[in-house]
Amino acid sequence: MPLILIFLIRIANAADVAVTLTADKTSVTPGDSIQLQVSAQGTRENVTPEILNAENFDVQATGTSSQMQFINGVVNQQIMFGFVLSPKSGTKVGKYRIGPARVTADGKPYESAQLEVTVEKEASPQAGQPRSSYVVGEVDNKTPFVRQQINYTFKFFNRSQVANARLGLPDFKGFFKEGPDEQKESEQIINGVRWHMTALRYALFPISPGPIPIEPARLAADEVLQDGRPDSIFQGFFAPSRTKRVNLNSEPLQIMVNPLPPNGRPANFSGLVGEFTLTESLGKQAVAVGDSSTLTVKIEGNGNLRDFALPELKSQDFKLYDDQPAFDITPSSKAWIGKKTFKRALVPTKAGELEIPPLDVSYFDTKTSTYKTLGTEKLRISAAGQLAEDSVHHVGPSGETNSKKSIEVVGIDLMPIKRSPSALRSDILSPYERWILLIFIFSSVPCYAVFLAVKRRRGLLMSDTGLLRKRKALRDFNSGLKTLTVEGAFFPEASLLLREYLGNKFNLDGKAITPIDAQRKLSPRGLSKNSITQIETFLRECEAGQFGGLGDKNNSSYRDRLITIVQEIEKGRAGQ
Amino acid sequence: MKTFLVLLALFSCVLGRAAENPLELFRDANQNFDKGEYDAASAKYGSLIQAGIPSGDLYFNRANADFKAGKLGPSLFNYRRALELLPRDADVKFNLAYAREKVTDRVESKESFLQRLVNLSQSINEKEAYYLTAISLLLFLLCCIVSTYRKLEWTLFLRNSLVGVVSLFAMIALHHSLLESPYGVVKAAEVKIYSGLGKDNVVLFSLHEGVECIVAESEGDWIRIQLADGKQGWTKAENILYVRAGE
Repeated sequence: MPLILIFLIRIANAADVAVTLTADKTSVTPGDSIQLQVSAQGTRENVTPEILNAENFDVQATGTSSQMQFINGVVNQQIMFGFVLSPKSGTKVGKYRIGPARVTADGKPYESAQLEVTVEKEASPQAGQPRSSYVVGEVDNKTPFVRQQINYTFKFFNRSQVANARLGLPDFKGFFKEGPDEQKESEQIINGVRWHMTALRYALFPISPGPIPIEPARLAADEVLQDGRPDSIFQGFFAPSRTKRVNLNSEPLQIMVNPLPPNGRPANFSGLVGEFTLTESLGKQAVAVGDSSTLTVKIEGNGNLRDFALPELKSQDFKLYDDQPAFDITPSSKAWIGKKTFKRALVPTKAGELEIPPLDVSYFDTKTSTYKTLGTEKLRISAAGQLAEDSVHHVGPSGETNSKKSIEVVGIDLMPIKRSPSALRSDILSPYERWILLIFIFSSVPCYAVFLAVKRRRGLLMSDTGLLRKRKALRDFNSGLKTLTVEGAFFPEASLLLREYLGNKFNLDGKAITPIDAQRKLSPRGLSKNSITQIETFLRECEAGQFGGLGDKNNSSYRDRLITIVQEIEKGRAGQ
Repeated sequence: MKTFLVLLALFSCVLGRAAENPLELFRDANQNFDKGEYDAASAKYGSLIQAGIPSGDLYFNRANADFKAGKLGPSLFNYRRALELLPRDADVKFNLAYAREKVTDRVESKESFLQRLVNLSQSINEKEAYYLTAISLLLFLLCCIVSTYRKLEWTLFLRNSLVGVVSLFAMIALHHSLLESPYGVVKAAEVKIYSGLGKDNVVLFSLHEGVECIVAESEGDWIRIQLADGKQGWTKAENILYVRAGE
């Protein structure tokens, strides 16, 4: 029965949050672990606990669970956080105080008490009871040359079933890394004990000379425990499996990287270290001038070929177009073998039996610790015909091509920086610009709709003569009134002004309105009898004035009466 | 007027030296670049950008300085920003391709037909898309107005064609403003990508400096990234350079 120990329960603020830190045991060996639980009660926030003073231990979170209680109408929530605590490699035997666990809720920190943990010396396995699992990290060569491939293999040995394994591999700082290969599993008998072994392998290429450490590999897993009653028929069917969290660390490694010897280093040393083969093949052996044939160069070996670039091929007989090289690396039984394939299109620029210059690649052979050079055979290509006039490779006017040398690119670099002060312009939309453009874009359609509506209304107005006359009746009257003088021919002009106004207003022939037929013509237009009478009277008096000679002294009052009549009609009172 | 001048003076002080004399700072940065002081040059180009001069040329120069300083991740990120603003600039395209060759990881792109169409729309930047939408809309309205008075064949043809042009530019502007996924570039030397939030999850794969990705979502200080080949996973936001929402 596991011993459950509850250490301090300290409530930082009794009204708020209580934090507890519990452990399943208080002593641990370097390969063993302790199950910790941090419980936060009384908070509904999504809090994250922090375990302080655990520098000598690896702390891994295992999960979160929550519990909500409803007691006497009060909701009480408890959140439990699981952790696994295991001593780091190199942690000395002794007593350590772990904690407190700290939870921050509503901006306030709440802490549990500390927990005392004893790290004990790992007991040597008793005879007949060896350890049930362990891990190993090993390399096949601890004194490689710079850029020489070494193989790092992580091995996990176990005799019992494990679950939820989490692997933490070293960072391999100071190495260029390839891999891993596929996980390999096998059974091995070591000192008479059968082990299940799982292995992963990486290729490492040290970048610089000197000592380079490789940190321990770590594996955390749940080990399924045997219940000690192997003869029980219920075992494995009905009895629940018990698990124990184990944390396994491999030993750290120290790699001493040797520099490459300076003596005998060729001028064209490519930087390759290892063992390599170089092959070259040509596609079409005979082509027309201007057509292309593919030259394929393959280099293969156990060195780091990923960044390897093919030496430049110099020839005035060809134009060369390099394709993107293809790189592949595959694990073999002893090492990782890289393969890089370069393809070059060769376009002969003249006819004849043309020679492709051989390629030389120098490398450092780790087997013999000497520099070696790989070379290819001279290849020949037969080119026939002449370069076509419209060939894309033809430069300059006809007849001058052969005397000119094509431009040879000897290096590639970045395009230069921009120096013009125009670089200080803004290439993004300012918020003002954005709003102005958006307002324009979204308002343009409604504006166009308004334009169409106005245009349509104007069209309707223009087609309706009656409406048009009615709208301009008052305007014409007012302009006529300005020219109406109280001297001279006042009466005929005043009469004509009123009749034209009435004609426009009611879409009639205004000049034809007389005092006699005013009643007949205006009555159907909604004018009251009183207004019609006023109009009749005014028209009669105008006739009398025109033909009877009333003189000029009362013309001003007639003018005022005329204005009053029109105002009455405009205000609509005339119809009431 | 007096209040305005006081406010203007205060604003200038806040913006600091970059706003006081951006041209001088720009020339200083160019001189630093010429002398091989790439970090100083990059910082000065960055100050100009921060001071409210977000020009594609400044991002390009900063990317060049970062590249020369050996910072592949920031360099690629700034080239991408420069390309965003100067989508047809041959120099930017060349340098971006050159920097991409230096990236260790190879990510095979799985581009759908729709994605290629979207990429075509990238040949116009957001500012151009907005202005072209407004100009083509203005032309469309003028054609509509002219065709209401005179139904000439060419005005009708132009009007109908402009419907398509306005729609195209409006869609590009909309894509830039709302639909574009933020991109990111790995800035750390090596980054582990996890299956979920937190280092307790399974490590899916590792990425090296300069790998470009799409930032699909963020949660606290973790972000979910997606590569062009479809791989995705979570990592700490501090490992990736990307434009955060609101920046």
